[in-house]
Amino acid sequence: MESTRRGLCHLLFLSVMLAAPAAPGQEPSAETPEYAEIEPLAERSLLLAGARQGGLLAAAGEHGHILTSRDAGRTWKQALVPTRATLTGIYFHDESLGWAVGHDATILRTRDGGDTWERIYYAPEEERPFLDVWFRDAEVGYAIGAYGFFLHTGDGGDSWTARQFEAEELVPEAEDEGADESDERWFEEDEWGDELGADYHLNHISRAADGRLYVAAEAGHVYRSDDGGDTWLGLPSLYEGSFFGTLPLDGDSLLVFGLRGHLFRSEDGGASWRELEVPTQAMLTDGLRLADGTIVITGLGGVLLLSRDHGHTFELLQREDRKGIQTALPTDSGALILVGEAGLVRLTTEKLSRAGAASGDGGAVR
Amino acid sequence: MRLAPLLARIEKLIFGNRPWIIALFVATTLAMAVVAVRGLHIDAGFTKLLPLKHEYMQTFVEHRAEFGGANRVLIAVMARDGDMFTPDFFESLKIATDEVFFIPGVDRSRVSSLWTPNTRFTEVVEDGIAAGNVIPADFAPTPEGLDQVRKNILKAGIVGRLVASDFSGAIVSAQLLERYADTGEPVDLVQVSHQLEEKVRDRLQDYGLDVAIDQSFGGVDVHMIGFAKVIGDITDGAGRIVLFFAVAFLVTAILVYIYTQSVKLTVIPLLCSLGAVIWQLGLLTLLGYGIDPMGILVPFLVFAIGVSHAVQMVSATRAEVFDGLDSSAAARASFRKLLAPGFIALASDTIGFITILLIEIRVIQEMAVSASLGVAVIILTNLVLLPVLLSYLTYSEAYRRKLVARAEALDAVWRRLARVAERRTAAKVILVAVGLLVFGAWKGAEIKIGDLHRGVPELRPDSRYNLDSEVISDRFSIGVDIMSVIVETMADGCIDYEAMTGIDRFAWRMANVEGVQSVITLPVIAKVISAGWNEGAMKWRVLSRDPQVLQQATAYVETSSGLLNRDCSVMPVMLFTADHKAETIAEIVAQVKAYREANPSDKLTFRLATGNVGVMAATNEEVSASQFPILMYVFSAIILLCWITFRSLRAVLCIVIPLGLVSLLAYALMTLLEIGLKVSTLPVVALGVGVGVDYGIYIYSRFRSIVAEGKSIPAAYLQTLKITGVGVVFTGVTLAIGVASWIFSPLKFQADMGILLTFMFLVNMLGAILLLPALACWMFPERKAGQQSPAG
Repeated sequence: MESTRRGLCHLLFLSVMLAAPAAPGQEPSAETPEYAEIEPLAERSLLLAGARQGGLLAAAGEHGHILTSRDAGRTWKQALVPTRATLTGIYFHDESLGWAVGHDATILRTRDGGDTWERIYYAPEEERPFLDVWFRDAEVGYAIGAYGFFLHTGDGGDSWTARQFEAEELVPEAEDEGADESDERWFEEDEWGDELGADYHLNHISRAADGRLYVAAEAGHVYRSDDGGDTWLGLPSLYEGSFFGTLPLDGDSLLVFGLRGHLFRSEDGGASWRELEVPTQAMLTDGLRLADGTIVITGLGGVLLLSRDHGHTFELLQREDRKGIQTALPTDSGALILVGEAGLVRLTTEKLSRAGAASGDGGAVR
Repeated sequence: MRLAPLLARIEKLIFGNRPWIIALFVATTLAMAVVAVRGLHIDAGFTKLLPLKHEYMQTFVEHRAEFGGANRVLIAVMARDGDMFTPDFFESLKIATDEVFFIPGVDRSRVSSLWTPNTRFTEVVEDGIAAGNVIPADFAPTPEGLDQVRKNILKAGIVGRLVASDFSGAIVSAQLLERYADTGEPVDLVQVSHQLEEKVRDRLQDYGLDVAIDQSFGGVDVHMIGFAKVIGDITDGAGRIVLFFAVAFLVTAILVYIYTQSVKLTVIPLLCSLGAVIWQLGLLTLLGYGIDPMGILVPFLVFAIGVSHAVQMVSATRAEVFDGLDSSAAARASFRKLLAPGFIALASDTIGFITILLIEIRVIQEMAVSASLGVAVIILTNLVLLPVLLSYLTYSEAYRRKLVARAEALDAVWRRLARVAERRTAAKVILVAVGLLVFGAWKGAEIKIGDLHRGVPELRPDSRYNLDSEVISDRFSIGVDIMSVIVETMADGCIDYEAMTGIDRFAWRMANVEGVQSVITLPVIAKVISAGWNEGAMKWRVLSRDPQVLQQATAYVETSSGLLNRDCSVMPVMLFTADHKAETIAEIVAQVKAYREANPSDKLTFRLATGNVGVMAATNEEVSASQFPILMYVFSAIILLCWITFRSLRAVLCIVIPLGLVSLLAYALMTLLEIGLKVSTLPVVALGVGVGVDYGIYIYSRFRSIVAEGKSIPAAYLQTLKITGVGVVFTGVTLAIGVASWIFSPLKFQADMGILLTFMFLVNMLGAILLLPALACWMFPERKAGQQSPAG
């Protein structure tokens, strides 16, 4: 097997991303928004984010699709959305107030439980997407995205301020391994790395029960905020590949996962890590904990990793269609809604438990 | 009438120079035979099947050079035991790959299978992208080696494309060249098809029986699809029509013999009709046409029509002989009596066939030309040569007695039949006809345009090809029904955000149209590639506004993918459809047009349509646009000719009403049998009308001349039946039996044509002998019909 390597710039100091958007609070682009087409197959389209708040389930994805369900994911209704941009993040504060973010630096807000949306931020000239959104309460929230894109609001999204995403390092990082040489060059040398600093993609934001926030980012970076997002700490990492999600567990326990089936566990809020061996090399995309305590990690290639021992060992449940799963939503009925390449797929409890028990070649690996 | 002196002169000219006439015919026939044998060729071409002037096909023609790459063959090698990860399977697949590679006409650089070096995988690793051949250079068929290949297959994302979705087999895909590399001749698709059968299918079906590496190996099945295979199979099937022709000829000969009870009277009409066929083939060759698999039926049709007229001539001559004339005078008399109606009938046929020219599809137009030529020739062979030959015959007294005895035996039948010319019975017949009319109008209105069944419509649903096609679309994610909407934009359109997004939106709209199963187009692929450049993260499956990023996302897509042209100014949107039923196609076409209208763009032009379903869309529209004009013209021509001949409204009504009813019933039959109205069946209706009019004209003209002699209607009809009717019934049955054999053709369209023609021959015959007199008896004054001026 030939292999090519991209020399990644490992910076010792994480830091700084500056976004210089137009005056906060205003719609930077005068373009009148085009509404997403209401299409029968919206439920089967590429969906990239999901949210659950009480009895409300919501998912968002390409072509400006947002779908909501109030019957535990049995039926879905496509919302009236004033964008056709690909949406990548959605968050609900309660059953009526919510936000969604996506490409073209789009931020949307709903006040009626996701039936209708307004566009509250839009900056296609940024040429970088938001990748996730999270709100502390009805007022304060963050939209995060590519190249260190980090926007803050204090008024429920009426106005947004670009913040420098600065992180102090918690523990010095491991040395750079250096790059291998190869004949076949798939990537050009990174032009941005040195000059702009660590404008890493901020992929995913999650909140632990104790209020700590975690951000999973590109190139092995994980950040933690102990004060609700005001200041950030760069956590040490054993891995140079990208992380796509974190799943805070009880106490200071934490799972972080990403490229090529890499899954790490920390018992001390990210100060130290241990790699868990899992039976897949697929990219892991998101994690969640079901009511019965089962931990589910979703991944590309139809991968579901299930843990019934609080995230110490995982077994593989691979979907036959091998379609990528971006995230999953638990429901009151116990069924699991898979959100991803195949759109919305409802996995009943029986299927979940039976498949787990029967998964022969997966097996629990420690 | 003015016609009489002219006829007399023609008669004198012909019968005064009998030896010369015969010599002339023999010489011409020989010459035509030589021309035909030397020059006639099977001429199957794809473009001939297309309505080239149709808007959609203009798109096809314009972009054929760039996206003509439809000429691909897929060879699926399937493990019989359902597991491809065995050493023997890989060996079989290697043999298939190698054999395909060496078949002349295959573009060697574009053969791909697991075994070819162009089948690679890439995977995102921590620090970039890793790549390699799916079957590595050091592959060994060990469990470990096979396992490595299995992993590589997954990474390469070729499951469903080159590898069956359930890992039960794999595909060798090959692109065919336009011309042979060495000679520059166009690639012979039939030859390619045969080579695939011999070198791949035959060889691999037996693999494993003796040479298996592992004794438990169950062997492989080979399934092949592609345009070359379709053409090969159609041509092979069409070749068998020669057999049908032979069968039909034999059946006809036997029946003619039973009818005439004389070898000479059997041989002469058959020879004359065969002569017409030879002339027709010769003329075709002289005009530079070949025989198309679809038009191969025409010679038979010509033969059939020839026999029909010959039988009339024989019956008429015989009747004159039995009335006391000598054979020469009898031949002359029947020539005199039949030349006009025969000529009119054949002229109507010819005009009927010529109207088919309206359908702007080459193969159909060729059929029209060849059929009208053939029918025109019959005027010479069967209305001129035949009576001349008959005039040399003598009829023995024994023969006469034999026929008289038979006529007496049949007399009761004719008497019963003649009752339809009595008003009470006639009323019942007319009532039944009205009932049928209503039924025909009801069912006929439900006729479907286009192809109604799965698979390649020219072949039967259970043909080898269509079964292969089903297996392949079943086990692989390969759609066989494709409509490509061609999107034209400016050069470098694929790095233009607006253009790409416009196409992407169109593609998504189309994906939501009922009947569309999936959509592939460059923007959709580019989005996936974009995600690939971002570690495979699905949140990056977007079209960037940055031209450089779009460049990166599209640069690796080759033009051979059929997704873009060289300067990226044209990008097809491939719609894979659930089936190719006319409604499905019409809905998709309507939605494309609606989208186009609702989303005008200066940058993008959405043009319908190529792909097999695009062709069907155009053909369906062409067929449905020309079906009414064709019938209108055919009927107008017949009405006009009948009017000119008989100068009477009732003649026109008596002849045309049964024909109209039969056409309507033919439509109803098509609905009932689920035969769609399409390129191959639309002409049949016109051809059928042409044949039916012969019967009507012969019966009507004889009937009227007897009525004019002063007989009562039923008596006149009885006599008509005895002279003309018997011939009509005989030919109707004979021709029906002849064409019925086509029903067993391996080609679906021939079978459909066979069914329809059989129906047309039979039911037109019934219409002429039952409905025509029934109508006549209510239209003529009840007592006597002397008032009509006797006319030709």
